[in-house]
Amino acid sequence: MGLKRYIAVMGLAAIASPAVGADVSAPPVGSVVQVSSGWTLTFDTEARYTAWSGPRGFPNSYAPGAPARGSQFHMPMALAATGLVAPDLKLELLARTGFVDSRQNAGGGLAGSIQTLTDTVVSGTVTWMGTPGVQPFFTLNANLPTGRAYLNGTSAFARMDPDLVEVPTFGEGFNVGGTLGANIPIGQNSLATVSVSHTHRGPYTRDPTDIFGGPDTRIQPGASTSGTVQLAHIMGALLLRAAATYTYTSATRIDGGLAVIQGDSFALTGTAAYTWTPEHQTTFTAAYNHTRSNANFILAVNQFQREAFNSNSNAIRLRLDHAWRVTQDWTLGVYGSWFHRDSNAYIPTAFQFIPAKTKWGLGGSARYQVAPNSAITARVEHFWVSQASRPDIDFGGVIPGTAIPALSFTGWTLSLGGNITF
Amino acid sequence: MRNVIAAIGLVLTIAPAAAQVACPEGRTLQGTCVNSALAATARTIANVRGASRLSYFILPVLPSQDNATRDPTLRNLRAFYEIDVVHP
Repeated sequence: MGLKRYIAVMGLAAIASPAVGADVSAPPVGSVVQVSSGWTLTFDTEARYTAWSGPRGFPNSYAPGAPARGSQFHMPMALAATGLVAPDLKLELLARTGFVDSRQNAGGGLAGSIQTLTDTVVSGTVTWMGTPGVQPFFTLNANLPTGRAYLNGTSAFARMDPDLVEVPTFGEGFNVGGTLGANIPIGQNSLATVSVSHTHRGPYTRDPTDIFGGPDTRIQPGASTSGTVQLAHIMGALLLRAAATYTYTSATRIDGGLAVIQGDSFALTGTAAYTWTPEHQTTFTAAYNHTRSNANFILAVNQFQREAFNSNSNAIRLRLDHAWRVTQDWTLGVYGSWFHRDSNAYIPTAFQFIPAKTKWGLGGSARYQVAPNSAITARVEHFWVSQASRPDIDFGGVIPGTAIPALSFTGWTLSLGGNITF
Repeated sequence: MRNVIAAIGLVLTIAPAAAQVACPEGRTLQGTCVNSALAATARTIANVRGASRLSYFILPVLPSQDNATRDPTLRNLRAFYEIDVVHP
């Protein structure tokens, strides 16, 4: 489907309602509002188009794949319902799916495309509000495999760098998970939240991952368990929020055999939002993630052993947003972001070495309130990605031709969407 | 008598409104309403961070919330060996 047709689709996607974002420009603390047991129904969709170009395609270890460009049209859509099933019991339901058209065109035959539905995520959250001082909640999520995990032939080359496109692959197994948590208000201006989560990931079959044209690969990803602690505090016009998450995973199996246990990860996020005037708000967010070294299953000794060096990188992201409410109906926004993933701990000539990578993004948005229950939002972003070089692999001898030069990519993302609430 | 009727009328006017007023996100220990936006956002963040392995790229939020909610640092690059491509 060409770009012109996708532009038409983006126009059709512009149906509306006020975006229910992670926007904490809240009503005054302590205010009461009338609550009815009536339900609200929200339909929300966006049409997103990303195009990139660079010196090599994905995987960039393939030297003949030069030069390269790619594009991706992704249209997620969701239906959400919220209401009270009892005076103190709130229920929030969500179903989300989408369509994706992904294309890569690089030299050396590294070209492929795919058009498919994505997987579908369904979610339900119940919150108990009848106990002053604590509001527990429970969420059940599921990923339904309505996408395509198995890509035959050259369609496999439609998988692109996750740092360049939003959708890096097009399906996986049936995953189900839950989160149990509680909001604990501390006075009128502070809130603590604690939660624990577990996700079971079902097996799925994908196309072969070896170079010898071997059989399909059956993957059983490891389950993950995590705990999150949050704190939020309002001081006049300043909102501060922090979150910390610890995650550990169980073993991943490949073709029935134990393969790897991904290292535990620790993630921190901090947000500061300042409302200068009712029309202007600035938000700064910093995020950091560290993952411990993995444990690989060693068949010879029939046990997992922690790898000698950490093959995982640390990641950090900084983002600055500013929103300007120009009129009652129009809100404009600008944002900039910087993302950096450092090289892993292996020496540069090791097979497992992954070089450092940096991504810059600069974007703007415009939101128009079409009606009290609907709005349209348009967004545009330009990004630059640079990846450090790596030398030839030394695997008991130098393997010539395996070096990867420093790579730089650029791209654009356009999106148009909106939602409507009944 | 008129004053009594007026007083009753005033009470009848006030009472139904008071019965309908509630806190959409519950109450603090002090009895005041919890900040709705703070509470709803915290619940969303707890779900998103806890569901980082639910899907490679789909978050359990509305699409319009993706831009504000997505955190690329939570995406473990190692997990993507599951999407590595070598063939055809």
